[in-house]
Amino acid sequence: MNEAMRLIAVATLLLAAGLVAPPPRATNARPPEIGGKVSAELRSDVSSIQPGKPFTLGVRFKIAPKWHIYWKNPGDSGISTEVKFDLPPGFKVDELRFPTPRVLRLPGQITCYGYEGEVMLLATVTPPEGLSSGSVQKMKARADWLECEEACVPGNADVTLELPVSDRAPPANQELFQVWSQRMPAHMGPGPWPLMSRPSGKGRAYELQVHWKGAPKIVEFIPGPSDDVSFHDIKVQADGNKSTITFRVEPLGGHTMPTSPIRCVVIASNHEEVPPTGLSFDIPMADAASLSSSKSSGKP
Amino acid sequence: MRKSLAAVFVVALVGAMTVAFARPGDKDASKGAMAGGPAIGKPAPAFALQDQNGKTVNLSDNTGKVVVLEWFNDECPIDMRVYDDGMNEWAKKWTDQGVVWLAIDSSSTHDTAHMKAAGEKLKMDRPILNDASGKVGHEYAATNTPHMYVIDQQGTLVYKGAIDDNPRGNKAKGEVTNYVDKALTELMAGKPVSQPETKAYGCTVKYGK
Repeated sequence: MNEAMRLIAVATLLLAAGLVAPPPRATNARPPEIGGKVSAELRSDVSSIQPGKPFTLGVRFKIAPKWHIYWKNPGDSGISTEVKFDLPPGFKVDELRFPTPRVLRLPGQITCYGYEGEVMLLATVTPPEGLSSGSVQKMKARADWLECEEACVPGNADVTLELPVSDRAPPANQELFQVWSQRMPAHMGPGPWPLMSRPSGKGRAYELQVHWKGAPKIVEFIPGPSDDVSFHDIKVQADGNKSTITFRVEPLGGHTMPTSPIRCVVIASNHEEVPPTGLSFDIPMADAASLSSSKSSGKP
Repeated sequence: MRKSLAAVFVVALVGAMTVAFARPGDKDASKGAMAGGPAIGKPAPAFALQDQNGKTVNLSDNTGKVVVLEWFNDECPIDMRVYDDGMNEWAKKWTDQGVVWLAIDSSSTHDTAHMKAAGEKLKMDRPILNDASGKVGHEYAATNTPHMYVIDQQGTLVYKGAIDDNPRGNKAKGEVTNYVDKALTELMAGKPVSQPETKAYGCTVKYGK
C-alpha cells in the first residue's frame, strides 16, 4: 500500500472510531449494498461557493479488494463508469476527468482498463454570478458502473453534497484533490509530434515515440473509447529512455474512420503497486493532408 | 527542455520513416491480447460442440440456413437483463422462421449439467453448446456475454458484436436498436447487412486461467 493509500486508510479508521470530526455538511456516501463492493461519495475542493468562481467536484469510489471498475473505455469487456451531474440552475460543469487507469489482464487474454482500490473522478464546476450569500446549494450526481471480480455486478449511486454560498471559497479536502489531480494523465497537446501514421487496410497504422526521464519498467498503450473503430496489434518496444509504440486502428465493419481524434493514454511505471504516470495523446484518425484539404474546402 | 525534446522528436520522425514497424525482440503487448477474431465477409470458423443433451452440433450441419451464435452466461447480470428484455422471444421469432440459434457457454467452471439447468431455469428452447475449454470462444474472439454472431446461408460471417445499443439497459423499449434483429431482417430479405460490426457489451467471458 503506498503512502497516500495508507494515509487514507488511517483517516478512515480514525473517522470510524469517532476520533476525527466529519467535515461540515458531510457528503452522503451510499453504503455498499448486500453484494455491493463499491461505494461512491461526492466531495468538493472548497468548503463554500464563491459566485462565479470555478471549483472542483470529485466522485470518489471505494472498491473492495480484488474488485475493479472500468475506465471510459472498458476494453475488451465491461461497462464504463459514468457520472451524470444534476446541479442547480446556472451551474455549468465541464467534462468528467478520469485518472490514469491500470491495464487489467483477465483470464483468456482479455484486456480491460480500470481501477482497483480507490479512484476519484473530477469535474470543474462554474457557479453563476448571482447567488445569494448564505444560501445552500445542493450538488447531485448519479454514478453508474460495473464492478467485477470473478463475477460482475452493476452498481449505481445517487450522491449529493450541500455547499453554502459566501464571498470566499476556502479550500477543502486539499490532500485528496491533490492526489487525484496528480493522477490525471498529462495531456501532450499539438506540437512537434513524435507520431507517424500511414493508411493500412481500411484504417491506419501508427508509430508513437515517447521519451522518458529514466527508463520505466512497464509501459502500456491504452486506446480511448470509440464505437466506430477497434485497435489492434498494440506493441511497445523499449530502448533505454525511449518507448516506440505501434498499433493499427480499423473501422468496425460497416463503419468509417471518425473525423475527430481519439484520446489515448500511455502509462509508465516501475512497479505494479505504484500508481502509473499517464500521458494522453490525441491520435488523429485522418492524415494531415486530408485534414487540411477538408478544412480548406469547408467540409467538417 | 521543450525545444530539445522537439529536436529529438523531429530526428525520430525522420529516422522512423525508413524503419520497419515491428522488430524482432519487441515487447509485444498484443501477445497478451485476444486476437480480433473472424473477419466479416469470410467463412465463419468451423466447430463441433456438445449440447446440453450430449448431442454433437457441427456448425457445418447448418449450411443453407442462417445461424446465430449467442455467447451467454446465466451468472452475468447484464446478460440476464438482456434475457428480461427479450432474448428468448427474439430467438423464438427467428427460429420460427428457420434460423438456427445456438447458445454457447465458454465459462470454464460450467459443465453440461450446469448448462442444462440454466437452460431449464431460463426456459431456453435452443441448443446450449459446451465450450468450457474456451477453444471456440477464442476462435471467435468472444469477449462478452452476450456476444452475438450471425452467419449467412453460405457459412459467411455477416455480423459480430452487441445484441443491441442498450449496454446500460436504460433506454426506453422503442428507442433500442436490436442489431441482430436488423441483420436477420436484412438477410431474409436478400439484402446485405448494413451494420456488420458493433462493439459488444456485457460481462467478460469467464475463460479459465
